[in-house]
Amino acid sequence: MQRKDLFFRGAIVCAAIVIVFIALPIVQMILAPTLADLVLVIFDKEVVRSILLSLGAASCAALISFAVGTPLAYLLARCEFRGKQLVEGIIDLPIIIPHPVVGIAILGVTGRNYWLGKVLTELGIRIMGSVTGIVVVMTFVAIPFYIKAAKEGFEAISPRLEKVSRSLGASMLHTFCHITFPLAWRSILTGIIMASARAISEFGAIVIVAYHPMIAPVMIYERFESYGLKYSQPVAVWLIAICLVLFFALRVLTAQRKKTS
Amino acid sequence: MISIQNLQIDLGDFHLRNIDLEILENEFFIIMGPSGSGKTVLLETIAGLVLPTSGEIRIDGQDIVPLSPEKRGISIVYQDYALFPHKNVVENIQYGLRFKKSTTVQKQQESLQTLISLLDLAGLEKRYPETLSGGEQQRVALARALIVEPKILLLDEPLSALDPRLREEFIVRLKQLHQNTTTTILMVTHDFSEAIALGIKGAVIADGKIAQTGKLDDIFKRPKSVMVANFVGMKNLFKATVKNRVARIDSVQIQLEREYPESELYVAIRPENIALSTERPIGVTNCFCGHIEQVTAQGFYYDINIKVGNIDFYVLVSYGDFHVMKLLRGQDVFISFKISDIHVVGC
Repeated sequence: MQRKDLFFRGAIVCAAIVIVFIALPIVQMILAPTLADLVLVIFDKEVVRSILLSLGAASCAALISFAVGTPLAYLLARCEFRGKQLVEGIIDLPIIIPHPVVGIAILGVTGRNYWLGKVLTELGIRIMGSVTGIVVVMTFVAIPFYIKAAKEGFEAISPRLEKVSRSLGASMLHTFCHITFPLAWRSILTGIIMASARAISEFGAIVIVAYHPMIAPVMIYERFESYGLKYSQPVAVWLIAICLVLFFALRVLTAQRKKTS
Repeated sequence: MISIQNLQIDLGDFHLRNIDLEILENEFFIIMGPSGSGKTVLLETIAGLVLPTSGEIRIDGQDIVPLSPEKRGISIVYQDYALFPHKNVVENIQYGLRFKKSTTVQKQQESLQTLISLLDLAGLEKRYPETLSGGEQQRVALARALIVEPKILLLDEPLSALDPRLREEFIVRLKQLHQNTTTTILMVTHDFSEAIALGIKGAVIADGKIAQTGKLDDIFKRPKSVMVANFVGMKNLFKATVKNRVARIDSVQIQLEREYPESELYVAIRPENIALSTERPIGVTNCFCGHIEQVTAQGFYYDINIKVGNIDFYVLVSYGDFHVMKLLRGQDVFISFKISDIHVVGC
């Protein structure tokens, strides 16, 4: 492509608009609080608790996605079956449905008027206003991102590698653990990161299912509602900073493992 | 012995029907056919990687269809070698050993060293597949398949990704390996020259079924159908009206070895069985005068198209003969062939 092309210049202008559109509000928000505000907030026990709850619940959601989503992702990558598109459509539903609707839907099946809610109550599991509820909502919204990433990872591995492994005497489980998984782990890790990110950012559904205990986005919303923009920004900055550090660390870890392998 | 009886495979719109094969122990059997004819699917079915719809696959009398792939003792080497990219050469070769609990560690090490030496892999042990050449990858794949001492080794077009020099080298190596082991080898190829260089017996698959099976020499010289004749390179294949001992192709009349009832059949003559001369040969029954229509250089020989009336004959002439005879396009020449080199194919 010639740099002088009108199309090329137009593309650069569009790209710049998009970058500014995304970066400007975030940069402005990061720069808005003073250092003193940030220090003050990080010593606020409520803020620390909410951030830790967000991180903990999101990690649980990502791990649950990993545990139950991996077999499904593998099946979708390797098998052709009637109704596959329907299954994929169902997996995509949490991405499409508005977030408050997700919260209402989850409350609908876990409420006392529904059989599942009755079973959960019998078992002593509470969804409404509990950490369990937060993890359930986070898993609901995060799992499609994990399944998509893991499925792409499995699809990129030639089925012939698995076939050769089987013909050499390995069982399907051994083949999966020693051939498929080690080759797809980077996509799986990407999926876990995506799922965690999506879980941490969830607000609309969680605010309906569990306003308390308060996760960081709910805390930010509450501070904004009660005290205004100035008081919500430092909490938001800390949440963004911690998330960025964690995701950056995971990315670096992935890149280093790639080099060593 | 491998005995395949009435095997049927259905994969979506693709079907293999009525596959019957008998392969003797320690035989080098070739499965041939055009691309997409189902050769690889047949190999994968024998290996247990594809489930047949019906039929039997017996090894030494035992039906192996209910067995899972890991219990069959059949190794497969794919066209793209399918080496495990996250394992080095030794790890790749040794992969199957952990499932062979009957052999001692010392014997396994001996097998490893023997294969490394036999397949010229010394010095590559710690290298990863992505750093190996095509030939090296292929030798690693072969070592990995052989180290488990399979009863049957399946080779899926193993020569297709190699350059001609490596191909010749590999053919020699593969023949040696076959002589030194008791393994039965089934190789799939779409190249008849590869088949003839390696095997003695084989089968041609086309349109989802076995078109011909038997000695390769027979398939090569006496194809039973037009499809097989085309596949084995019978370039001179003409629809003819046969009556008594004469086959009439347009204005050309060819004398045949024996009498046939009046019918429409195909007459086939291999290009290398047609002699070309600038003067009429004496005492040859089937001799025709024509002119050179087209000359195509094919490296060490020339592929010459000679028009006799409206019929196009194809003749192979060596580089030396071509220049000695000083052949030119448009020149009048004589073509002749022995009665015994004419093969009559049913429609």
